[in-house]
Amino acid sequence: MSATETELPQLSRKDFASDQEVRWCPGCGDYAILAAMQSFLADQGARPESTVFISGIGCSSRFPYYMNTYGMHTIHGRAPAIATGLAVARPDLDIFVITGDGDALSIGGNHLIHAMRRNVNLTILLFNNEIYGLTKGQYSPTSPVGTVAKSTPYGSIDEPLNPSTLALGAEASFVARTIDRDRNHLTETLAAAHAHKGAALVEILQNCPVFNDGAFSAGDGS
Amino acid sequence: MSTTETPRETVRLDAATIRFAGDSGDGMQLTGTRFTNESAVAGNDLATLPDYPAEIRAPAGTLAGVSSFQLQFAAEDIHTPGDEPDVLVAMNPAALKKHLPSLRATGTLIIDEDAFTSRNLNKAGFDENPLEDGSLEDYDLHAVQLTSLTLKALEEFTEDGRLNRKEAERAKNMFALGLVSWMFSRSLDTTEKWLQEKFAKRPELVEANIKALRTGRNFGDTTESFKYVYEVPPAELEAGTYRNVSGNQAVAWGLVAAANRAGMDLFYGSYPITPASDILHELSRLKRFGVRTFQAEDEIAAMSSTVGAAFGGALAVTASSGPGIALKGEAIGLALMTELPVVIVDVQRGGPSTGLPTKTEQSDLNIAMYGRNGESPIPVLAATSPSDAFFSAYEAARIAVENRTPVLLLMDGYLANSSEPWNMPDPDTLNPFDPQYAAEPNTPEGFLPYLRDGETLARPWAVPGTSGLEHRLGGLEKDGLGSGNISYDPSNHHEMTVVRQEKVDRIADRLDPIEVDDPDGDAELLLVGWGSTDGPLRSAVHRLREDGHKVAHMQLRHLSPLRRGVDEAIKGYPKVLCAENNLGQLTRLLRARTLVDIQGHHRVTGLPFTAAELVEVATDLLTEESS
Repeated sequence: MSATETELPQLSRKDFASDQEVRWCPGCGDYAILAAMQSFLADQGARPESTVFISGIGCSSRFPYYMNTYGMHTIHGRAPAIATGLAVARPDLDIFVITGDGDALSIGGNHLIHAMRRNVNLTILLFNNEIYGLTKGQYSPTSPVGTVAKSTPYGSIDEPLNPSTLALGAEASFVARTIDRDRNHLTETLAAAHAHKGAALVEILQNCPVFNDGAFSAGDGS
Repeated sequence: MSTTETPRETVRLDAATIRFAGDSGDGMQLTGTRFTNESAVAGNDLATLPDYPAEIRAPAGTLAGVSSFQLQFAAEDIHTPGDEPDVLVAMNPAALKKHLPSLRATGTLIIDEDAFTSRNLNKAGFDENPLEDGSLEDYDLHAVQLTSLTLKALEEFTEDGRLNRKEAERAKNMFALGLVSWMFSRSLDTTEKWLQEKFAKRPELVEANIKALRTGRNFGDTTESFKYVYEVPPAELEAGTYRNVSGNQAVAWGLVAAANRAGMDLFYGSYPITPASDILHELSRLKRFGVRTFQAEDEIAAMSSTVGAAFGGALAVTASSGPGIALKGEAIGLALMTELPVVIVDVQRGGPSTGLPTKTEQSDLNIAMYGRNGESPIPVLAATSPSDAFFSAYEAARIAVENRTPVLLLMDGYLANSSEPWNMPDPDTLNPFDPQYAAEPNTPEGFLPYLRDGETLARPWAVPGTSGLEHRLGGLEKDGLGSGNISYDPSNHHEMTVVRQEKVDRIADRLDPIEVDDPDGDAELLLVGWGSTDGPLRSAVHRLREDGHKVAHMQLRHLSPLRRGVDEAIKGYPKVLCAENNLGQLTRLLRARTLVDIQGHHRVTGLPFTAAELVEVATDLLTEESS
């Protein structure tokens, strides 16, 4: 493998971008994560043919369509289970799971905790915007108590989940949190998670400018 | 060990049916299985019917806790575990209460007299002791003190403390087995050998069980209670390596054979559920054949994991029973939409909801055919016997791989747990098939993952790791240009829906046409069945013809698409009867296709049909005045 790798040309960010038009809302935090990922994979010397993105359902889960790698945009909440099957059948692949707070923690909570406790070799990126974006603005399992959203006009009454402590509780072997607009921190975190053999959970605080703008702006003056 | 000399008359039988019945803790499944193996070694053809409660240990002595094992063994080719037992072994009053109604008139009844205490009689709902009130006098009754004789025989073990009383008492099933084995001139060798292996670490149990077994045999030989011994000579079977195989084992082996012949790795993702778990147990032992098993966190994950494994190029399989199939529907839809080959095995049990976990039923045909959102056609097969489960699993894998589609294989609780001797095929005689993984772009512009084969409409299968063929799949509707890109265009969606149906329909082009069993071609009644009803229907047809009736038989193994000729066959007979263990799911489907007034025979009592009931229904239909 190493002999052939040295003969392969160095790929650039563009080599990891598919021909599909990116359709997230203007200003969405997902753009920054996509750009960071494409550059990061090129810098790491990753190969598109052995890289796979598996996503569930939600805004973030459109991610695989924009990557010129193998990918699957699957069904709501099931990406960790689908990725587990792929990882068991093909341990040679480099597999990323792209998911959101509703996808990973609500409908797919069971699959997420079991992928972590089994320590399947997956890099799981959880885009946390504390809201349901694709279904247009209902509160999510990470929305703070009192969130006024379409389904909670009088404010939500239930306690949110903390993705990181949930991951620790599930005995995940790598847990990190980063944020969409700090490119360096984001890239460094991706690199550490990617280098980890086993299940790595990265919670990415991600701004939804349409339904939950500024959820993570407190204290930084932006 | 030499065969016991006996002065008694030996009666030769062509076939015999025995049912062992007792409390869940009495070891009846084991006793039945051991007698089955003795019969297989003696060269009989055979078929078995285990029937046990869902509770692991239901309250002792109750009707709910009765567990039974029936087998028919024969000197000829047989297709069913027998209608009515010739011999019933009842270890307690509850077992007698539950199973006496099915014992053949004048049949042999062996009873553990010690278990007929007033407490047990009460639990079973007897007002009077049937051993004393004369109600059993029409049977060849042998009330034997099975428990106390066993305890007496094992006194040396209990006295010196090698066994406690409970352990000694548990050997009473071996006493019963020894007695019945003697009745049917069976050697005890295979069972003794099995006991030596089973309890290798506890020699005192080996010794005690063998003692109980031999005591049972000697009891039969020395008491004058038994007038006859019986002999069922070996069946004339084709030479070959025979194995006693259950349906669940056969499914596992068929899948391994398919993966092997296709040069693929087998991935099996599943969640424990009765009566499908034995497939997981069997496959998890077969790592040496490149099998990877994954016990998922739930049914949804089990199905989802197969979709992921299929994306990676594996022969991906899951199995479940009704409740699990209901949960898998969403991810089956994803496999359908992404056109990835997976096999889903549904070992049907009584439904709906949790239903009857350990009882057989054929009521998942509708969910197999239609149980997903949207227009969602997938091929559906149904195994027709325990050994056919091997070939059906192989066929399901072939259809899935060649056509890039999920395939649902219907089994049922009866097929899963029933066993029969099977002449294992030479693997080299199984038709190989080729996954034909894509290796290079299929257009000058690049790789189009949905560019279909003109004949089969199957799409190319490119697996990760293949350079230049990177692509994205998903559950959203895609355009008809082959790219897999999302399309919300209304007319495109219509076109894609039609194409997905057409792809499944065209599989029939490559199947042999249906074969109808109608030797003279002039039958007045066509009997139609699917899956596991094959055995009872074949036996019924045999008897109906012996009675002088002209009947034909058509058994469906491919349910979607149907083989060519099914509709024509149904339209070609004056009368058609469809028998199934549901309330008419195939009957309705065939009626809708053919507009023929097909009659149905439907029963869902947790047990397979008997040949006798099918003969009765068919005879009624044949003799009724045509209006």
